[in-house]
Amino acid sequence: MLWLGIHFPYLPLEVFTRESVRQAATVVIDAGGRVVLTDAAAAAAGIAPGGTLASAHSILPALDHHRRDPAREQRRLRLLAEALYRFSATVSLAPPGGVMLEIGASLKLFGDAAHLAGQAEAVCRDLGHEARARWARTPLAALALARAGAASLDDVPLAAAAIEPAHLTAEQIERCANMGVRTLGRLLALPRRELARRFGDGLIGYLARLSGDRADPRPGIRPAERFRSTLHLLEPLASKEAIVFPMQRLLTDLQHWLVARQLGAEQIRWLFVPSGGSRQAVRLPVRFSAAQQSRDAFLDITRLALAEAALPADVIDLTLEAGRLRPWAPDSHGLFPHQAGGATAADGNIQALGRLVDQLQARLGRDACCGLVIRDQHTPERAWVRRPPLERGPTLLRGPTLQRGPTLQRVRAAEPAAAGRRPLWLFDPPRAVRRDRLTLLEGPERVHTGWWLGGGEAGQARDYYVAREHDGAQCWVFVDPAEQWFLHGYF
Amino acid sequence: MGGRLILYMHTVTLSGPMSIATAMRRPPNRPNARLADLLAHPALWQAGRLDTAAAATPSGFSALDAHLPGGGWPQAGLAELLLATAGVGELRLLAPLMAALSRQQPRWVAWIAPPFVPYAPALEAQGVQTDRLLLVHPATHPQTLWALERAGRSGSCSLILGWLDERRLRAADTRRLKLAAHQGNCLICLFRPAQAAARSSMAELRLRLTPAAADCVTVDIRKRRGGWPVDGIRVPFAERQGAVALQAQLDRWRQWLGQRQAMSRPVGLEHDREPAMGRPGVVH
Repeated sequence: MLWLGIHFPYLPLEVFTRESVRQAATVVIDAGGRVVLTDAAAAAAGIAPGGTLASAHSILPALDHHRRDPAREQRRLRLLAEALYRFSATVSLAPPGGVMLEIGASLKLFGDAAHLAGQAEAVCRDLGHEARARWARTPLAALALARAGAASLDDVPLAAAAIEPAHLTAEQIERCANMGVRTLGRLLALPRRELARRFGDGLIGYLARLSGDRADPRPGIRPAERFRSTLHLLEPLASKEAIVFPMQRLLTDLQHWLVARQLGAEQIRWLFVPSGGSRQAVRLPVRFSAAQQSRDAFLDITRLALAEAALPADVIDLTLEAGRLRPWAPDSHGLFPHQAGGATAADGNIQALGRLVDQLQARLGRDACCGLVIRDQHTPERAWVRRPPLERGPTLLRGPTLQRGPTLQRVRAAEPAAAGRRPLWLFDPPRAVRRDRLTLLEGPERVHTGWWLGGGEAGQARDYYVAREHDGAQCWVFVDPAEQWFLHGYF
Repeated sequence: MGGRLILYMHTVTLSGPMSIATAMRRPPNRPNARLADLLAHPALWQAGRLDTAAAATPSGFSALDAHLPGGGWPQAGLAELLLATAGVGELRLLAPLMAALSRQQPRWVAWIAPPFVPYAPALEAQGVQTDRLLLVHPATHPQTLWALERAGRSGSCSLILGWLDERRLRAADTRRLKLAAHQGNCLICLFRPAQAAARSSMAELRLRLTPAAADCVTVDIRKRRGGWPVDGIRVPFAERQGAVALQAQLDRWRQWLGQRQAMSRPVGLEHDREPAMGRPGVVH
């Protein structure tokens, strides 16, 4: 067993700064109004943790301050843990601000522990969080090392090792310090029996789990089945350009979540909540013809959909949901780039074709794009049908009248020769035309619309002619039993 | 000709290693070489030469191919068909190209704002693979232009057919479309009324179609790369019908052959099992 402990030292601060658009010096205060954590700008101005908010404001009048929000930290930690699920099957939360991964089983895939730790830190940084990752034989040791940023337990101060209040109380730390024991390494070197007599069984149990003498099972998280993430913006956003930045952050979260679960999303939904609260939230669904995983693919189509959408004047809450999750099949590239053949090349091309359809549909609307399918029907109106592009299915739909019986193949094969000439342009529906504008060239060809179909055209006998209009266009016309002439297509 | 003098001015933009100015400033020890250098410049076109370098797809009509640069429709660029009337035979003229592109390339043949419905069974009979067709119906003129440009730039279309609002189309738009077509390596084909011939356009190829006799169209090449305009090319569509019938027959043969091969293939598993069963000394 090898454990990777990851500590997020600035998590209480980062849950606020990632939602803010303007860059101001920020501090986090506790319930008593004392500064707990400062960002780099505030620290540079001389604001230190432990001071009062009033003195901080006297140093920097333009200071942003937030009251610490453990619930928000917990939600964020959970999301980070799910993003780290890609590295290990056992990911365990260690609040506040810590995550532990069992990596013994992952080393073969990711190389060595140092490489894996670097990758985990990079993922957290991409999600907007400063992280420190250290590894050790036991989860508590790994986390203690990560909290202290130390390389060995000899350098871990006792204050950093107090992961939970039950482990080491402040009183115990002070008594140790009075004994001259300030680091975890020194504490472990002391004889256990004497320690037990002075400090009780609680500390001994902690040290046993820290050193691996006692088993320390950790419950793993179960990743959520659905992705839903909300960003509470600190100030309302009015412009569509500005809202792209928080969108990028949410999409980054989504990308890591999808990668960890090896899923792709065929649909994402945005929810824009206006600041007043009384007005209706605006939904913006964005669909994809193929499942997507990368942030840029989501953002590309989202931007197009956003340009056409009517947003509330001031958005304060932004929510992203992923829908229609599909198992992710990663792009496989050929070993030789010039060999464009086989299933992988075709799949890659489907992706490229789908991207164009997504772009067009995002800007022009869902119904603006369609493809055509041929149906096994003899009337021109029913011989084709629109369908969504890239929908997998037969390119020929069987008609209801020909579904059974052995004659189907014969009928289908014989059709091109049996049918008369057909135009390339079709009018849907046919247009009425005056007979004196036409010169008939070929015909007639009798097409009987089926009496069994019902509707307005039921049982109509049409005589089709190839004709020439007065302006020279070659057209396909028919005359119905009532001697009405209709233009049905152009050649 | 009498005493008439024809002055032909051709403006070229030289961006290569040598410009006209530097060519002229060279020492005059080899005057012919200087001229040859100038004439060899790729951006300079001589009137007697038909440009055959560009990649092209045969149009399927020999009468037209003889006059098109490269012997067919350009692979990438902007073409315009100027129609005397809708239904003059513009689709039948393009059907062989559509058939070839839809079969050879796994890319879309996009129809942007078509005025009528393309009749799929007839297109299939012409050899077009109908599942490659993408019909786009934008609501407004700016959306149509955007869709044309986006489709052209995307690189996932081999041919784009576009119908635009003639009153709102500007010459600058055609320039954008031409650039998009070259970027995405596709042919954008615009359908415009015959009156548009008088308006300037950046299209590389402009053909005017006028109705002739039945199953025949007269094509006037108003503009082509590396050549003069040509008028009165008669394109008979009947020529194409034979080729389509032949192709259909070939397809049917190929399908039949495929079925035969699939039926006669032996089943592999029994093949592997036989020697193991017969091997001596194996205790089952």
